[in-house]
Amino acid sequence: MFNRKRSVKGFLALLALLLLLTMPVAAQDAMNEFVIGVSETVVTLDMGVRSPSLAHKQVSYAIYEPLLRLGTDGSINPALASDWTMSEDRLTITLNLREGVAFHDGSPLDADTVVWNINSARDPEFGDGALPDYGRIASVEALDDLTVQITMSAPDANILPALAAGSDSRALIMSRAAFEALGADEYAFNPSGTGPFKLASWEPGVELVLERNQAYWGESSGNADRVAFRVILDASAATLNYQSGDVHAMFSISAPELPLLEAVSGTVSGAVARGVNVLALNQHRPPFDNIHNRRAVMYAIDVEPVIALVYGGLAQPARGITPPNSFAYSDESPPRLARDLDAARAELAAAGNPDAFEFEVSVVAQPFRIQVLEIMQASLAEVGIGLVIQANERARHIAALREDTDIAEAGFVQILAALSAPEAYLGRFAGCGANIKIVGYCTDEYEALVAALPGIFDSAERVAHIREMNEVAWRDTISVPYLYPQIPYVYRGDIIGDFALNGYGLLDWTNFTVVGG
Amino acid sequence: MGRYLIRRILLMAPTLLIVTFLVFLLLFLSPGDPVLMLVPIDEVAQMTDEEMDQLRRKLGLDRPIYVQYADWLFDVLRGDLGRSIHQRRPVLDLLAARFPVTLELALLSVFLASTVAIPIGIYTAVRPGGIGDFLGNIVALMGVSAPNFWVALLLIVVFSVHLKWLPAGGFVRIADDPVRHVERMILPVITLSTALMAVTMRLTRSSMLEVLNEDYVRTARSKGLGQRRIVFVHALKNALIPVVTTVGLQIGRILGGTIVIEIIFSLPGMGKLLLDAIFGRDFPVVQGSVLLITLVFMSINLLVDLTYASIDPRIRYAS
Repeated sequence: MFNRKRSVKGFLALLALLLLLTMPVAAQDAMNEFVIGVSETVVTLDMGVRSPSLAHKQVSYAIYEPLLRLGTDGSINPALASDWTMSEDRLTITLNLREGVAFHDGSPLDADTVVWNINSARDPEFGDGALPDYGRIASVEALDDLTVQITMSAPDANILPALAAGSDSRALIMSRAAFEALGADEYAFNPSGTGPFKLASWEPGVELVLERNQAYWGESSGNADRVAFRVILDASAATLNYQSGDVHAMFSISAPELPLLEAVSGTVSGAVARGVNVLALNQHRPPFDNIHNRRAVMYAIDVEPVIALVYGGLAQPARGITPPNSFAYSDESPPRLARDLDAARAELAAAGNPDAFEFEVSVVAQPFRIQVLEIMQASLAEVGIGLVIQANERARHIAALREDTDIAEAGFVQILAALSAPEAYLGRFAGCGANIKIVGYCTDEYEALVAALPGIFDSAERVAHIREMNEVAWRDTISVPYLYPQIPYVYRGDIIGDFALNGYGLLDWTNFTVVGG
Repeated sequence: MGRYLIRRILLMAPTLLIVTFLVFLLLFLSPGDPVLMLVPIDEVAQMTDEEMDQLRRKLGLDRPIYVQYADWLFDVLRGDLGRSIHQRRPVLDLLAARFPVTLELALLSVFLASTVAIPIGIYTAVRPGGIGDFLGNIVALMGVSAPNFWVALLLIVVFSVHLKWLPAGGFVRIADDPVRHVERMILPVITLSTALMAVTMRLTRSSMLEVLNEDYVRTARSKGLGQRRIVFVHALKNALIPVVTTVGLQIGRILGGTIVIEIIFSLPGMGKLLLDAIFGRDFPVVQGSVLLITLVFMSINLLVDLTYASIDPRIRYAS
């Protein structure tokens, strides 16, 4: 019954299999490739559908390109459109497309495709619905194979940044032929753009691999053949993946993990500013319907320990709601947030409540967000202001910010919106039509400033106007912008040549170089 | 037996209906608008109210709850589990991609745990108080006490970071590359089987000890039967009944609860899908996942009940 010979053979076979499996896994094929670890999942690559995680943006801008390209200084540069003109009355924009550009599926870029893309983005029934950035477009037509004319219903200074996909990746140009041939569901996993990289393989939630587009129309100085995005949701596991050499670059890193990553041999690290953190104050009811109470909080907050302990030094105290990577940022005014307990006490006295008050702050129950509020809690307590942390599930927190102003007196807000469209962080955060309802700041003066912005085309005037809005917001203390966070990134400098993120937090896909490749 | 089986299978339908209705109701009662959940937490100011209304209408979320449930139910009867609100894909496609990963993980873990734990459990029961028993108890205690995530991270540190023998995470479909697939399943399977191994070992040991003290075992010994025959032929079958129950239930538990392992090892399994769907108020995915997990759980229960009869001839099912 017991066959000893067969058992020995089986054991040896098992041993051989184990040896095979336990051989070092670093062996890769000869291609120039590297792996980026990301903490978010890319859900779809159909540009009609909203999925604005940072990883999604990186992949989208590798596969797709916009008609125009936005410089980090706010300038508009050619991309799929080689040049453009705007009529005197600002109501007609004519775009001349590049010749000889092809999508990854082989179909040519032409005016009809661009018209279809813009009209699809304006269609409430397409994808996630109409793109607000295109709200003032009245019509789009193809004048010839390579010329597109856009007619506006009213002048809009934000239309060129919108065409540059500055605030919404839904303005990137898809292949109409591929979309219509595959249908929306299939297309979402078989995207076709004109970008320097194309999709090679994709296991949703695990890994997405891009490969070089050999037929790319533009210049590309990099030599990377393949770039993989590996999803690692757990921060500790991500660090271990980097330490083991399975992953060669990471961004959106939590502060406690950064020193561990920097300690890995050959690592280069950096950080780019992106957005602003705000304590949104509910002006619909006491205590923050009173400006003195709002100012008391602003003066009493000590932001330095937050930056040191939670952000590992990778942040700076805010000076208003416009972040430093915006072209409209000023490093002169308004003043940087600085603690002044005497001023805080004076504001409390002016508000008629020298014994201070207590307020609840809604926050998503994530450790680093709660830690920020705990530090604020301690600093506010020194003037008698009680901060009660309301750790909410994400749904309730978003409801507190956007729907039900009775949930909390304040909310933790991080604004990482694109900086090309100032309305995204000025008009949508505060003002009568703001998306963040909890603030409830609605004055004629501010509303007039918000309404005037789309009509200002001169860039110097535009910068001055945005700075004026910023000053008004600070003067009225519409909320407390307290720090500008940075996105840290690390990469193995001995494997990847250059991995810098630009002012919009995006990678330069034409410049990826594998060292020694 | 046949009639018993048919009755059990027929009883599954009302159970499934009640479970899905209760889950639907609970999701509806819990606060949180699914469309709001589409807004990234750090870009909460971005989506306009008009965009939200458009999306709500397109996704059919503006309809009354009973209409949504009835539509979902009729679609299920036609084999359509709906579309994910967040992932914008048919739920059936999502489950088809995720369920085999979790099933493989569960089956391999249970197989590994059982093949290691049952022999050790028998060995320690046969020689109680010996050095093997002592070591077995210590290992079992460690296995039960060590949390999953800690074991997972420890294995990555040892086998991926230091020895560089196995990848730290990721997933490759077996059809794409069988070797790389197996490489990536080794650490998750070991992690998941650790606790199960400990429980199974302890259970086998105690159950075996109890059976070995039974009168019929003493009789067998007095008749002069050998130790191997007594243990493997007479005692083991009876001792395995509670072990089979536990292992069966563990398969069900693993199918719905490998979330930590999936997150740490970046595996595309059911646990993460379901958790994301619950937090994202992705009703169709929650409903589809619950339907599948309930179905599998009930099937395993039925299978376990049927296994009793084959292990212990005294057990017969009335019709």
